[in-house]
Parts: sequence; C-alpha cells; structure tokens
Amino acid sequence: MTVERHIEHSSPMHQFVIGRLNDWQLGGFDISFSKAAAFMFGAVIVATLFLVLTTSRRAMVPGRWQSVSELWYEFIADMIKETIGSEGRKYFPFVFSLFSFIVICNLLGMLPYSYTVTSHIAVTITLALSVFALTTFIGITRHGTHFLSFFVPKGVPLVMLFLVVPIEVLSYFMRPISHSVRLFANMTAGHTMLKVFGGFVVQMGIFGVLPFALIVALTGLEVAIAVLQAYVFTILTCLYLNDAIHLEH
Amino acid sequence: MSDPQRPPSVEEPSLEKLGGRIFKARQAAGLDQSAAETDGMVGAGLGAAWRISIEIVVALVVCTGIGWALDYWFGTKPWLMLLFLFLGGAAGINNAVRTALRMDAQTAEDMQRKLQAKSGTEAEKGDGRDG
Repeated sequence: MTVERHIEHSSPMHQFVIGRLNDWQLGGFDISFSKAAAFMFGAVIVATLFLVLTTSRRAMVPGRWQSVSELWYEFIADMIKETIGSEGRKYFPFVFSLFSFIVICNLLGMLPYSYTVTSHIAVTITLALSVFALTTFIGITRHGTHFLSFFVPKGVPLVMLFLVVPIEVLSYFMRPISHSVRLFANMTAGHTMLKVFGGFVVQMGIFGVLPFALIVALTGLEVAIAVLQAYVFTILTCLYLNDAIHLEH
Repeated sequence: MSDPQRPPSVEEPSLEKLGGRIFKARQAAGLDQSAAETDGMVGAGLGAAWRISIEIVVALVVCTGIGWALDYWFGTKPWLMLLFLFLGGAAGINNAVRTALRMDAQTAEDMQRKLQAKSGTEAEKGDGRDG
C-alpha cells in the first residue's frame, strides 16, 4: 500500500465513500450494486426479521424479545395518536416503516466496519421528499382548493398578505430540506468526529488513552443520537401529516 | 410506588399524608425525576436544539441560494438575492417559532397528563387530599 493510499484510507471522510460491490452498466447508466444499496437492503431485512421472529409466538404474556417489538409498535402508535389523533391511524404503516428503516440504518451504521446510509443527503432527501409529496397529496385530496388557505394565516391585514404569503410558501417548501438536512448532518458530523478522534488515538501513542476514553463516551452519545434523530424525523413526519389533515399550523 | 425502607408505625395514615405532600412539593420543584426521565430530557433538549437551529439555517441558506440563482438567470444581481435573503430569514424564523410553540404545547400537554395520572393514583391510595 502506497503512502497516498494509506492517507486516503485514514481520512475521516473515507468512510462515506459509496463503494461499488460489482460493475453493472445499463445503457450508459451505472447500476452497480453499491455498499449503500446493500446496507439499505440489510436494514429492511433486519427490521423485518426482527419484528417477524420476535412476534411469531404471539404469547399472551410477552417475553423479552416480544416486548421489545411491542414497545416499538406502541411507541409509534402513541406518537400518532398524540400528534394526529384517531384520523392518523391509517398512516400508521407508513410512519412505522419510516421509523424502523431510519432507526435500523442509523444503528447498523454504529457497528464497526459498517456503513451509514443516512449520512448521505441523497438518501435522507428521498425520504423527506416522499413525506413532503405524501402530505401535500393528502392535503390537496382532502381539502381541494381550500388547501391553499394553509398559506394564508388568519387575522393578517390585507396589505401584509403580499409579504406573508410568500414567506409562508417558502416556509412550506423549506420543510423537506430542513427535514433531510437534520438527519444527514447529525449522522455525518457524528461519524466524522468519531473517525477524527480515532485517528488521534493512533497518532498520540501512549497518550492516545485520552482520546480513546473520549471515543467510548462519544460512541454512547452517537447511539443515543442515532435513535433520537430517527425519532425526530418520525415525529416531524407526524406533525406534517397533522398539518395536511387538519390544515392548521 | 411502595417504599420498603419505611418502618410500619401506628401513625401510618399521617405519615403517608406527609409522604404525599413531600412528593408533591418535590414534583413542583422539579426535584423528583427518575434517571430515565432526566436522560430523556437531555436527549429531548438536544433534539429540540437541532430541530430549531436547522430550521433557521436551512431556510436562510437555501433561500439566499434561490435568490442568487434567479439573479444569475435574470441578470439582476444582486437584488433578488437580497430580497430572498430577507424572505429566507423570515421563513426560517417563522418555521422555528412554529416548531417551538408546538413543542411547548406538547410539553404542557405531557405535564398535565402526568400530573393527572399522579393525582389519580394518589386519590386511589387513600384520602389523598392534602395541601
């Protein structure tokens, strides 16, 4: 391994490179199966297997594993009930899948030698845009042209509307961006930080104990953030759904 | 919540009353939080900080970018960028304030529910009318 190669590998950003697992071309497009795709499939498989296997016995008195699944289910069910109300029940499968996918992707990323799918804006903005498209679609189908009243706050003088409506429209279109950047920035920043401090451990020799201790603490924090950001993404999805269903800020 | 350390005594009812009052006072002062609850609060604080700050930054940056791009197309440098800079700031603040208000409402609701649950269990326990 040459020196350049070595430096490239120890760069804190190297962990985010989307490696190709094979080389497929179709009509000039690169359709190779990438590391990112593998981990996304992995997350879906892990979530499905976990939920199916732990609930397969359907015990009346749940065991340890079954209660994890039940907690998981109730967490989302309660969240929907609290933020949207009973009308939100039909969006449970969507919200539950979204949360499960993100939380498993984030947690898989915490394993050594693994890859964090959600540290890529392409992934998070796809999720956020699908939420945005769904909520806009729900808003329009439920309320028709009345949906536009969402951009006109009540009790604003007519003159101010020329200023307020553009701001409201811009606010609305900023949603998917802030929604996706939040998750992406958290995951990228956290993993970069871990890698940087990891580099210090090697460089500082015997004093590397200090950054090593910090890494242990940071890893704990990162696991918490992985779950927390999945939660934040999901609860914002619920709030946006609530806006679309009830047309209120 | 039974307390195994408390020795059984004749004055049980009044002791229990006192316990109830201490519990309520500690609750009011915010001293009585389990480890899990405070852990959750640190996490929730972090989450809240991210939710609000990102809202402002993203709106400002993206709107300024939109203004810059429109300037580039129409050749009106730098007026649209300036306009969108302010609109973006307004949109960011708008989103941030709305998020904060909603979080406030959520917290108030949670607190109320918790207090109701607590007073409900206390009322079941005994005469529970103190203070």
